[in-house]
Amino acid sequence: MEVTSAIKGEKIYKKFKKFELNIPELKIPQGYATALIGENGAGKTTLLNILSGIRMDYKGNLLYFDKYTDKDREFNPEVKDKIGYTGPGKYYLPQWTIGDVEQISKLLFPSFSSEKFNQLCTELALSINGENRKKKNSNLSDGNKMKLMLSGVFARDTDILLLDEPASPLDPLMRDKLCQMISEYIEEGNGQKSVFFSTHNISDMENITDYAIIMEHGTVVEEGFVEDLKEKYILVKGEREDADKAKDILYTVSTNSYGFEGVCLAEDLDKLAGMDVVEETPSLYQISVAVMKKNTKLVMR
Amino acid sequence: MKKFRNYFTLFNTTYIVVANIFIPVGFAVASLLLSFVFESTPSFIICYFIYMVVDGMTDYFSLGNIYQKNNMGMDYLKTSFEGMVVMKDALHVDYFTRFIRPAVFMLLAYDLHFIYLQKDTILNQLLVPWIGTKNILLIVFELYLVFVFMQILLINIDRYISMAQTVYTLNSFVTLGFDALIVLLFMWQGSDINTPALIAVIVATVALLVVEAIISILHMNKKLQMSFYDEVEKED
Repeated sequence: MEVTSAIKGEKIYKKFKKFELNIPELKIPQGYATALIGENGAGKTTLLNILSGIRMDYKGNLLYFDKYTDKDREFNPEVKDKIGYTGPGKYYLPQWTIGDVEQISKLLFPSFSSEKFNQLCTELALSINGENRKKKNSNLSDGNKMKLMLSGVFARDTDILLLDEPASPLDPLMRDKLCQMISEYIEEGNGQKSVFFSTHNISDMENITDYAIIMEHGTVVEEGFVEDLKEKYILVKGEREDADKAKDILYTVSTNSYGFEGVCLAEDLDKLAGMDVVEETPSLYQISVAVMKKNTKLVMR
Repeated sequence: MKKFRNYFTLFNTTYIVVANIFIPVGFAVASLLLSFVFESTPSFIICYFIYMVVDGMTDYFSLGNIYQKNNMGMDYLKTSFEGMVVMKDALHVDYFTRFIRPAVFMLLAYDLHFIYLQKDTILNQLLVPWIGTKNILLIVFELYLVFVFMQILLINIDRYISMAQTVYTLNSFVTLGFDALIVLLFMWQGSDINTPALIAVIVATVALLVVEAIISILHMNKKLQMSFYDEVEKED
C-alpha cells in the first residue's frame, strides 16, 4: 500500500549533555493517527518539539506534506498554520483566562474559529454558556488545562496535529472523548489530516491508533501500522515448566503458578516447537511493553 | 495601532488597568492625602519610593521572566507564525508604558498638590520640607527620568532570570536603594545647583535613558529571537 507522509524526516539529530536524539528516518503517514510510544526520557517530547518548530537547534531534514521543508514551516505562514500543537501543562501563560486564550489565538492563528472554540469549550464542559471565561489558566486543573489546549488546537483549520501527551491528565471519559475528536478530525480530512500524538496510555488510545512508533534512548526501535505489528508479534501462553526455555525467545515473560505469558516475533514461533503453547494476537499495549522491555535500561524483575 | 492591539491582547487586562492606571493614580492621590493629614511629611518622596517598588513588583504579573529561553508560554507563541512579531509589538508598547505611567504619577501628584493645597508651602510639601523651591520643576523632571531609568534597568534584570515573586520584590528594593541615593542627593543639593548645570544633568540623563532604552529593546529583540530560533549546535 502506497502511503504518503504528512511529515518525513531524515537524520534528525539533537544532542544534549546526557542524551542524544538520533533518528535516521522518520515517516508519519498522512491521513492516519500515529502514536508515539516510549518510556520516560526516550525523546518523545524532544521529537515533537522539533517537528512543531519549538526547538530549532537540531540537525537533519524535515519535509511536511511531501513538499515543504522546515524552513518553509518557519517562513511560510500557510504551512505553519497547518500544524497544530499542544504541549505540556505550561503551554499557555498562567495568568491568561479562557477568554484571553480565545482572543490571543484569534490574533496568532488566522484559521482559528471563535465559534468552534466556544462550542468545544461547551462540549468539554470547560465553559458552558460563557461561564468560567474569566477563570485563569493557573486555576484550572491539569485535566482542564489540557481540555483548554485541545479546544484551542481543534478550533483551528490544521492538516496535522502534534499532541504531546494529550491523554495523560485526562479522566477515562475525557480520553474517550479525545479519541472521538481525533477520529472525527481524521475522518473530515478525507485522508489529508493526520494526528501524531505521544502517549503512555496505550490501551486507552489503541482504538484510534493506526500507526505506532516506539522510541527508546532517542531512537526509533519499532514502527508500523498496528495491524502489521499485530502480525509481526505474537502473544504466547504456555506451561510453567517451559517458561525458562521460552525466556530466551520471548521479548517478555510473565509467569504465575499456572504458566507463562509473553510476546515474541511471529517468525520466532518455530523456536517454541515442542512446547505446549497457545497463540493469541497481542494488543498494541502488549507489543509496546514487549519492545520497550527488550530495549530498556530499567532493571525488570 | 497594531502594536497596541497586540499589547492589549497579549497582556492581561487586569495588569494593564492596575499597573498603568490604578497604581500611579492611587499613589498620586495617596501622596496628596498624606500631605493633608501630615503637613510636614515628605509625602511625595515616600509615595515615590513605594510606588517605585510596587511598579517593579507588578512586572511579575505581566509576563514575568518571559525572555528566559524555553520559558512557559513561549511554546504557544513559537507554534504560531505571528508569535514573535506579536510578542515584540506587545513588549515594545510595554516599554512605552514605562515612560508614561511614572509621568502620570509625577504630574498628578504635583498638580493635585498645586490645585488643592494652594498654600505658600505647597512646593515644600510636594517634596520635602527641608529643601528649597528653586528649580523644583527641573528637579521633579530629573526624578522622573531617574525613575524610568531604574525601572527599565530592573526589567532588564528580572525578565531574564527565572525567579519567584519574592525575588522580584527583593530586586525592586535593591533598585530602590540606588534610586533613593540619587533622589535624595538631588533633593538635598538640587536647589543649590544653578539652573544651567541642572539642565545639563537632565540632558545627560535623557541621553543615558535613550541609550538604555535602545540597548534594552535591541537586547530584548535578540533574546526573543534566540528563544524562538535556538542556534544550531556546532559540529563537535
